[in-house]
Amino acid sequence: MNQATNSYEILLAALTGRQEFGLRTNPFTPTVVENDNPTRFEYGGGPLNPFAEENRYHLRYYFDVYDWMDPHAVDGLNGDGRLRVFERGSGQKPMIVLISGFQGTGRTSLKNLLLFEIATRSAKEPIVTEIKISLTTDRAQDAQNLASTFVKNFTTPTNMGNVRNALQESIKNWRESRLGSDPNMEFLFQSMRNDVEAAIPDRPIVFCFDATNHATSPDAWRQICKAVALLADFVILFVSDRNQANLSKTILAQSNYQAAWIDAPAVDHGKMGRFLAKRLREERIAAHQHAAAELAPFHPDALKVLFSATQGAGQPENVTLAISFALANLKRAFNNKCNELAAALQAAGGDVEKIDPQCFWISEADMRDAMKA
Amino acid sequence: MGVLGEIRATLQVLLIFGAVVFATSCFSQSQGASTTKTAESSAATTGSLAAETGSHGSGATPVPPAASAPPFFVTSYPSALRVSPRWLNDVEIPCVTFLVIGPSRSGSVRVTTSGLGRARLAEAVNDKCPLPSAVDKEVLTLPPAVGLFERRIAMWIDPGPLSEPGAAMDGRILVWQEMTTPVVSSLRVERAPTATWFTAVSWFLGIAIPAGITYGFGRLLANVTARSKAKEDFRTFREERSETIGQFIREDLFAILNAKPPVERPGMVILQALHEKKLLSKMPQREFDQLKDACLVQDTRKILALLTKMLPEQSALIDKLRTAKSK
Repeated sequence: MNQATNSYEILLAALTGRQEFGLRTNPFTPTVVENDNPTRFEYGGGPLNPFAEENRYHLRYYFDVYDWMDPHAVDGLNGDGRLRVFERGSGQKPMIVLISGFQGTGRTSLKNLLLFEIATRSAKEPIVTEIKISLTTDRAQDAQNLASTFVKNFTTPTNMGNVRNALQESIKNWRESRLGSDPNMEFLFQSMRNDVEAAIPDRPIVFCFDATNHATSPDAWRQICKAVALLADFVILFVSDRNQANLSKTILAQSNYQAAWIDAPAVDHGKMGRFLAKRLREERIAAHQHAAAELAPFHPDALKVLFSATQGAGQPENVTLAISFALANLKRAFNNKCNELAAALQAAGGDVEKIDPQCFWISEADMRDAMKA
Repeated sequence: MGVLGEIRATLQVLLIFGAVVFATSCFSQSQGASTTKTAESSAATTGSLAAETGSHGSGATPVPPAASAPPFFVTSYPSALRVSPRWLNDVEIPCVTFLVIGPSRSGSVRVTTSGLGRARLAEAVNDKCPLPSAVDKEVLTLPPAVGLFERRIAMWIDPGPLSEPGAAMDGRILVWQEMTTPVVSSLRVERAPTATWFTAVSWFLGIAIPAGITYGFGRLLANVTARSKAKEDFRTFREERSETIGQFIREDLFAILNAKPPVERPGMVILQALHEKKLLSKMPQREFDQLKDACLVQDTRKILALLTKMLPEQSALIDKLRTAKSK
């Protein structure tokens, strides 16, 4: 842990007597002890990623900001960050999960959670291929690119080398057997599926596509998804437009794919307030758990400032923000207040009682200052 | 009665007869008759009196006509009158006044016209023409005057013979008394030829209107031909892209109409899907405009109706969608 973060704990320890600041750790950069190793998690330092083994503790930091459009297939977050429902139906066809939302709304964190769930529930490490869809006009070339990217997963360990050779052979056969302009993607991916199952059965194959590029038509990546579905067990697809996600899910479901849609919307004042209350509750020391105000040290008006419409005509009344943006501002406001209190404490000679009680609240003005930075 | 009585009676009869003859001859001399002669001038036209007295009764010697001034003058009117058209073939009804002057005479004076159609006459009111509705005499009878006979007469010309531009009437005004030769004065009435601007406009319209009609027919024919070709091209396009069209209806259109939750702005999504599948390029312009308008207002019912009309090969499939949606 670095010096800067250590200073928060020191300050908070000095302020444990204050209801407003009776916190164990910085709620936005909490210290967590995993396997006797203290480590620090930082909101805004990247997406949550419990799929990486060293980040399993990220599960506790998930907050349900999502809209689960197909709860019978994929639904909700438990208190421990796990999905309540994640059912892949029986049958040959894979599960396709569409995640809609703009950057900063928690899409990647959700994808990582899904990967974690796949790994945990199958008790096997999935073979994950992540691709940012950038299609050419030549479908055959697109298929070749996808196949080559998939093959790169099989570099280590030793037995993977056999799989890699088999896959490359399949790609070569496919290239040679193609006639005319028909890309014949289905043959390619089915062959590759057979190769993988023969060598390493039961390992889930997951493709993660980023189709948020507006230049790529939904028609094109739907076609790719259907072809790749012959190889994959799970396809996770990012799209930015809600409508497209809804339509694609309906079309895929019509073709008997198990399709589920999760929307990662921007958060409003209410949702962010609930997140903040949960976060503060988790880090508040027991003595102040019931006495302190729900959002302390944040004044309720400070949150309103964050979600207030900007000056000018035509601003919507219900302002929504990407959660990463909202978190960054809340974190900045909290850190600024800590710095201010540290200086005040030093000036007061370490006597907390000498500090004006109003100083312990993050006010509207504090929030405005944080937003200006 | 004896012989003397018979001689006295005979002398009385002869005396009376002679007196009558004498009186008649004197009267004829004072009247005078004028011979009719047309003379064109702007000055007063005078007629010559040609007296013709008949001698009646035996022994009466006819009195030759005296070479004297005509009994009437017709004066104070133009020798030629030009009538301007009001609008196209409509002409104003012209009116002219003239003065009939003559010595005092017993007996009424008659005025009429000749060669001027059904010109109507009346005495002028304050030297001006009265209203045409008040004038209905073609032969005007004027009572005799004591002293100099002087009357201003108003004459409404009959516009009927002046229906054509440039038409003209060479007419006469006749004034006479009983047993006298009429005094004849000439009057020319002509209608102005068509105004130059009217001729120019007529020429222009005479060329422009046929040219415009020709252009209009040509344009109409071109439009009909172009539309027929566009429809034929679209029919060929539908055949070539039948699979893509079918896929659009089965997948995209079905999904747009049946998605849960409902798709936002389905009209625009349909238009976008058609565009992405390149199904709009050969659509005839009128149908495309109708479809675009329906998509812009998110009228899915109208969109389906238009698609059914434009894609008759897929109408059964679209009907299924419409039925499924309405359920």
